[in-house]
Amino acid sequence: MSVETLHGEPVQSDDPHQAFAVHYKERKQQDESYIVGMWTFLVTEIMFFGALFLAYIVFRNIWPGELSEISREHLNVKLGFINTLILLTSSLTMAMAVQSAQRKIEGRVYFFMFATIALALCFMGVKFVEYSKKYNENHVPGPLFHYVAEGAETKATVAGVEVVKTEGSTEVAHEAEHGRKFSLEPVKGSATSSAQHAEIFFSLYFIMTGLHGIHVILGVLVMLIIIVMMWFKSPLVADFMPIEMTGLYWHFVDIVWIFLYPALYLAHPDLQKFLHG
Amino acid sequence: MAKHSEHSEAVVSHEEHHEHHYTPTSHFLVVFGFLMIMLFATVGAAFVDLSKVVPIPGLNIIVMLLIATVKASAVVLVFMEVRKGTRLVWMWAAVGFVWLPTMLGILGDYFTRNWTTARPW
Amino acid sequence: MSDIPVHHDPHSHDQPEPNYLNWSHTVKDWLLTGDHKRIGMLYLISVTIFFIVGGVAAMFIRVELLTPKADLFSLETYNRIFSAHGIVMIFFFLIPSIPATLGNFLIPLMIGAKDLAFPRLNLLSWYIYVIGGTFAVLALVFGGVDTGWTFYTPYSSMFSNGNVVLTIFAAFFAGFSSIFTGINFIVTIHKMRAPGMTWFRLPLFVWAHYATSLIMVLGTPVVAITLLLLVAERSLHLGIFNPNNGGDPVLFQHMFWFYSHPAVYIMILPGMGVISEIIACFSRKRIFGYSFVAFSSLAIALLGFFVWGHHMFTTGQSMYLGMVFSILSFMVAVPSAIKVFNWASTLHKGRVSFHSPMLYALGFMGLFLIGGLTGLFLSTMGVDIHLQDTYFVVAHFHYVMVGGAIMAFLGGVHFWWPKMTGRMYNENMAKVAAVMIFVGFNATFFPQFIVGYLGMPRRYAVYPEEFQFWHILSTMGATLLGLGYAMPGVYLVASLFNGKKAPANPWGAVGLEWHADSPPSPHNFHETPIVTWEAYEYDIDGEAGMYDGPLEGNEEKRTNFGGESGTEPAGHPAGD
Repeated sequence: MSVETLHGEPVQSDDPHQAFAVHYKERKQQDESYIVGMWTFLVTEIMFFGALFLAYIVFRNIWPGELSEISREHLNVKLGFINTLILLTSSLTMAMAVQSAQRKIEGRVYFFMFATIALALCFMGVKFVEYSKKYNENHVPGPLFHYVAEGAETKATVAGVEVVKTEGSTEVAHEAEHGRKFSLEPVKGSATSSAQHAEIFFSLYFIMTGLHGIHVILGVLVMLIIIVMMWFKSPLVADFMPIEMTGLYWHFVDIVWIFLYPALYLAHPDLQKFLHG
Repeated sequence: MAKHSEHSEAVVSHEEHHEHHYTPTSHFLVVFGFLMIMLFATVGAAFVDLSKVVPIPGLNIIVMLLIATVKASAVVLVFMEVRKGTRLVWMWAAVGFVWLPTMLGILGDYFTRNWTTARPW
Repeated sequence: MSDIPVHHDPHSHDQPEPNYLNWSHTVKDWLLTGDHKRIGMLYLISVTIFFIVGGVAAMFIRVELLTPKADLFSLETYNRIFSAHGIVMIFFFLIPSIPATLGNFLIPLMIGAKDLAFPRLNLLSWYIYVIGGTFAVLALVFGGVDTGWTFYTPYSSMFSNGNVVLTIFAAFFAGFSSIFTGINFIVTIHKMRAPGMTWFRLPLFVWAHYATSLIMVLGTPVVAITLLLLVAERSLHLGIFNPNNGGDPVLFQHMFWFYSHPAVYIMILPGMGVISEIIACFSRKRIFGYSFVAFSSLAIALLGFFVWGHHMFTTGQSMYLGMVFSILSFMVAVPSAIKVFNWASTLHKGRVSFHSPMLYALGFMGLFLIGGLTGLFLSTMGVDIHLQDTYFVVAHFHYVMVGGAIMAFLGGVHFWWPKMTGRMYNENMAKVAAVMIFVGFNATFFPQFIVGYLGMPRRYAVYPEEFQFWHILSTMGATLLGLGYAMPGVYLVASLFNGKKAPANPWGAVGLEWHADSPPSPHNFHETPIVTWEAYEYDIDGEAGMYDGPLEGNEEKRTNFGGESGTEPAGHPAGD
């Protein structure tokens, strides 16, 4: 990355920390170009996630009470807390990795890069636990989605036989999983709409955390590639700039989660009172 | 390598060919500690009904998002080293966060759509 | 791949100097090039292909509309044809047309750099564009899509049976391609300027591209995520945009237009940059009110982000927001008018010569004027209720996007063709083509204002018989327009084989790009230029002003920067 060259021409110095591609005038210009370029890219990422936050705010505004209720009941604040802790720590280790690279202490670079990767994998592990719970509860939006508000009675028609079920009974979920024909009719008028609210909430939840998770995985992949290239002494990573770029990206991923956590997990009923007037 | 004093301001490595300013570890640790405190503050804010203390509706989510903004700023300034960046880096670090509210202007529609009793056309 | 001579002696003219076109001829060196000039040429070829595809679709539409009944195509096919026309033309021709071809080629030359800041990112953006284009072509081959280019929900998410997902991925990739181009331009303009090239010495073309890049970077991600949401919605029936499931289709339109309205300025702003260059050159005058024109580009880019709602006056969005959007839309007219007035003032008392690029530029001014003013009709809420989704709207945005952007694109291609290829084209044919396009364009789209005002809705194949006169007129014009567009394709390509060799500065222009060879050497300049003169230092009475024809090139005008025996750069102020 740092030895970006014009038509593959060699870089102009033997010392990787001084080398720069031929279309630059000096090393400083190249460094700042990379940093500004990365920040410009992060601007696009901000707008990218910003649009998702916008959609979320819109629906939180339309059904303030319902969505925060669903969030409180079905998202695990503790797991979210642990994940925030993990990501913040990984930001620290990433910052240390960048610093070590700047100081050319190779051993420390490896250590902190691996630490960051390990923390990122822990993060994804916790996410996996959360996702699989949602999957088992049929809260993944799509054809299998099924949601009934806590305690609400429904009249489920399974194979033509009417049975009254309460949410939490595994049987309904079981039927749904096996694609058997069944329909749920709400006993209370609000059950359908609460299922709609839940589907939209979970859609946004999965898209937001999912895209964030994809960013985490991409970050891990980039770090692994850099480590492998460092191991084989590739001239492309002889310099600290690739790690610094990765660091900027990683901190951004962390910032997204810093906002995702309170927005998704810490929905307080107080908001409900406010918006219902 | 551990000889570098890690508690002085803006340590500079004086290698023969290369000179790069780096942030001392102590700064990172201080910011990390600050982030931890803020994290607990966020969670705390979720469990205390703040609008009972100060009668501003929706205070909790406002406080939580403000805390998140402070946390993000700390990450941007220190971890991402914008604090030591050139003016150009400052500018482009700010552009995204400054521009985002423009898009949130879309919310204006949702806040004012029902202000009229007339039926929408 | 490393055998380019890095340095040439500018004084040895014994053997032909290698230029960016002829230093290597292998396919690999073209497809893996980092050279902004070669990538610009790759883009030029690809956008031309998509222009042809979109143009053919347009001709199908016009032929179908000759008669009031749907006799050539079924209604379903017609939907797919106009959707293909819109999607291909907007995402694959208009948005990359000027920035990715002329911008890519010229920005480093204009600011005195050897290349864009990130050559590989530049190449990557072309590949992503090609991937997106392949998706679009596949979607067409598999039967197309019938949603229109706007993909409005819930039709596109719930009901349409076309290749919506494939087309959306096509647009998504095209978007990423333009994001990368935008990042590259921004960093290049910030960091790669030659010594002495201050912000206020930049050509207005570069200012316009900076503004365009801002839009690409700030807007495109929003439409990217919107399209992703639409894909998720369509494949999983999430309900975010579906009112039946409690969602809000207006939210889709908000998010879509938050990008897609500024995208209109992605199309027109670079065109305005081109026009500034051409007008200054062929009036032999400094652009009137340089800094106003420069800042009006930024103003258009930024104001353009606050007017998306004027596409949605009839959707049930908040009436109060509608009023705000209406007022803000009027305000966009101010920087646009600043530009037009400044161009007109530049022409005033200038030494105007009517070479083919100038004809395109003057055509642009006229057509953009009409397109811009009819935009004011449409930004008036009350009038828009009547005109929404009629051919009046169609005519309006074609006047801006075809009459504006494509005229500017063609003008720019003609202006810089000698620089890009090193060949002169047939000037007389070019003049005929410019006039044909102007006449054909007006004949095509002016009747659409009338028929639209009378009530002809857009996107319909069937219409009342009393509209037929206008439609026949429009189709006749479209035929002329199509022939006009075909002509440059013929004589420009012909010039590659039998055109006269172009001098370094055939037009006697003063921009930095004219100090490079025609075609430029692989590294653009033999030495890093040092800029000591202001932009557009045309001397209306002086040597540069005495220039009297494109073929009378004066190679001596080429300057060695800092060279011991070099002449002063053209237009260098004597005592500054």
